[in-house]
Amino acid sequence: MTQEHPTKLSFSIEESVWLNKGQEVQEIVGMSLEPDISIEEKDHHVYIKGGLRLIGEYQPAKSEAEVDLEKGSVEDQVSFRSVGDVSLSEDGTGKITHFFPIDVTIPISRIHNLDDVYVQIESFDYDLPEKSCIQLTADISISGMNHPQDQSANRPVATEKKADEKEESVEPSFSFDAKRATSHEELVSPPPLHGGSEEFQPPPSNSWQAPVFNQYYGYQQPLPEETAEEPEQVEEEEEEVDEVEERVEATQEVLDEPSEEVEIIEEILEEPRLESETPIEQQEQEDEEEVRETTVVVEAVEEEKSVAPLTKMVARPSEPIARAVEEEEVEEVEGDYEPVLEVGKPREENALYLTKMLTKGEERFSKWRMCIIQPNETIDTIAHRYNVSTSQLARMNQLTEEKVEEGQILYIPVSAKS
Amino acid sequence: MMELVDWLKAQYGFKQVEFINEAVILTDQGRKRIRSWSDSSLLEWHVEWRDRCHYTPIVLTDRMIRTKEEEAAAKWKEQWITLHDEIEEVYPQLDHEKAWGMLMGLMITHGLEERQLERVYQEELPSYEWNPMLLNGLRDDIQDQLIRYHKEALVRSKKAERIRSQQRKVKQPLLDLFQSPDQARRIYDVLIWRGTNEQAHLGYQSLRQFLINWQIVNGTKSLEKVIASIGHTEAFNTDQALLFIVEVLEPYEWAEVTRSLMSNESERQIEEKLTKMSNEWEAARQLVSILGRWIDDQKKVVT
Repeated sequence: MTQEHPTKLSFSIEESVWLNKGQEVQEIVGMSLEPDISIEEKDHHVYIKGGLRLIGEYQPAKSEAEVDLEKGSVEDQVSFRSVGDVSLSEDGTGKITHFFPIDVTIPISRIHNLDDVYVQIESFDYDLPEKSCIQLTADISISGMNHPQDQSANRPVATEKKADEKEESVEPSFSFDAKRATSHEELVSPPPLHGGSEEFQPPPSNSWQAPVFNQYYGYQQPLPEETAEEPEQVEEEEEEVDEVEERVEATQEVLDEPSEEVEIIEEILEEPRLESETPIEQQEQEDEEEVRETTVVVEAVEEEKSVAPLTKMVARPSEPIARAVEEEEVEEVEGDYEPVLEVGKPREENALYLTKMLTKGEERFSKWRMCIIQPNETIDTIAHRYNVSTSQLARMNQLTEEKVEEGQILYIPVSAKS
Repeated sequence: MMELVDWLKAQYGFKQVEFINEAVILTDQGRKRIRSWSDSSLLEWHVEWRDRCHYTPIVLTDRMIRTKEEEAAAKWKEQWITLHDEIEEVYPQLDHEKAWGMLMGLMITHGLEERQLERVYQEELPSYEWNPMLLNGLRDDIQDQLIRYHKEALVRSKKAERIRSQQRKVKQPLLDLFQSPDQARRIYDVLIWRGTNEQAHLGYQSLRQFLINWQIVNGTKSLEKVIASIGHTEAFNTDQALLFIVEVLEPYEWAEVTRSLMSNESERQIEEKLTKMSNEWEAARQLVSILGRWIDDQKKVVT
């Protein structure tokens, strides 16, 4: 059958932004999530790069009129300004900005027409669970991809229309038509809000900062070398076909799939994480300037669902990150990967301990890749390609045996050092 | 009048009494100021603070001259009469900040002691009612200034409110009104403070205005010396300094301008008030800064 199935890669971002002491939010004035993304075709791949820039305005709970007489200079706190120092434009609102980097590589064979590739913010919401925390959620999708099995086929017009209709029915909150660039120079995104560089820059020191996501160790306060990583570094690491790489500069705690079918929740509580948090606590005690913590949930969903990879991923107690679904394979795989039993279960302590024992330092990953298995690929080829052991790959993907199937998504850990 | 002259001679043993004006008499023992009192508890309070606030030979007050019966006041008809020495020479401000600060510190110290007064006066917090429409028709530069002042006045008021809230359990001093530097008179280089017969004022509001004017006239260095001298007195601690700061932060001077705006005064009148207010604003800035610095210095001493 030559029918083509346009697919959509979706993922959710859920991030809790902890604001500095003294920057508590009284009221959100406005929030926007602006795509700053370019698409480039190069070496049989399509590179979707850039990110989502969050810009928020809030009314601080602690205004400039706030005084804490126990700390700092009383003179500084009680002083007020001459009229010449008062700006007419200031309105007392605080501003936060944050950049969610996106770096996705798709084999060109999965793209019929580059003009059909859209990065969409399908929904975006925020909440204020407490004054020092802004909780953000966003669903992002990349549409316009073909199903891998139908790469060579001519797509029937009717099917494409159907897919379009499907996408249109989503009514995204934001839509961004990423520009196709023919050269690297043309990839320059719209001017960023801060600084003149298009490159990702870590948040300013007086702002919040996302801890680095660690697939196995959960939230980790970003180490300087980790946070300083730029998307370009990731790009260099990309080498292969059919790989979808998602770089998340934030720690992941919970996977909360909006779909009614599956909900994956994981709490990662391993000791390395605790160790990594200790300095934060110490720092807080020593200097209570900043309290930061970030939570991110990332989901990857191929809209044409396949239960096989889904069930595999869901069955992984330690893999909360994503799932990919391909509809065509539902029937044939359902039997194989029926037990979706551990969904929502936190990992048991013993298992955590064992995992830690087995992984040690070598698995301190700050990012991960998603690899869609192509025809004739085996777990060995994937393991070899990404320089990880087959057993490690199997364990991390919770595979019951060291076999993979075409269309299945494997999660490839990428070392923080790389 | 003759009746009163005879009564004064009888009560105080003067041989000669002559009225210079309604409030001052010339006696064979010098010039005396006459004060009358209808509120006995207020009289008592005024007698007490005048008697207590002195630091010989630097600061004295215009204590009540005792009658032949050794009383501080004598009842005449429905009221009480007190007499006070009247000194002509005004006490200087510059280079005499220590004496001034000592006087203020002594009054604060006394003002924090237990007292029983039926009525005290406390300045009400001003309203900062503001309607941007009232700016219509004013020159652009005046409008700009008014908007800026309004913004910062709100910040000041909020800061004041926050500290006031934190210091709500701290006792405020009960002070005689600081009306004018002319109240300080000099005799043999001693500061003789002429008190009033006004209601006792709760808090630092009148002292605030007095020291703001001090800054305008004598500058910041002189004001710093006054505050340092106040700080050397017994009861003036960081809590009291914060209460003082609250009063200075509260933008009373801005309220004058908003009242002027609300009553649709002419542009010229508003501009005049704006100019006067801007001077007070800057002086208040200095005073707040000095008081804050004084508190910071106290912290360093403690640690």
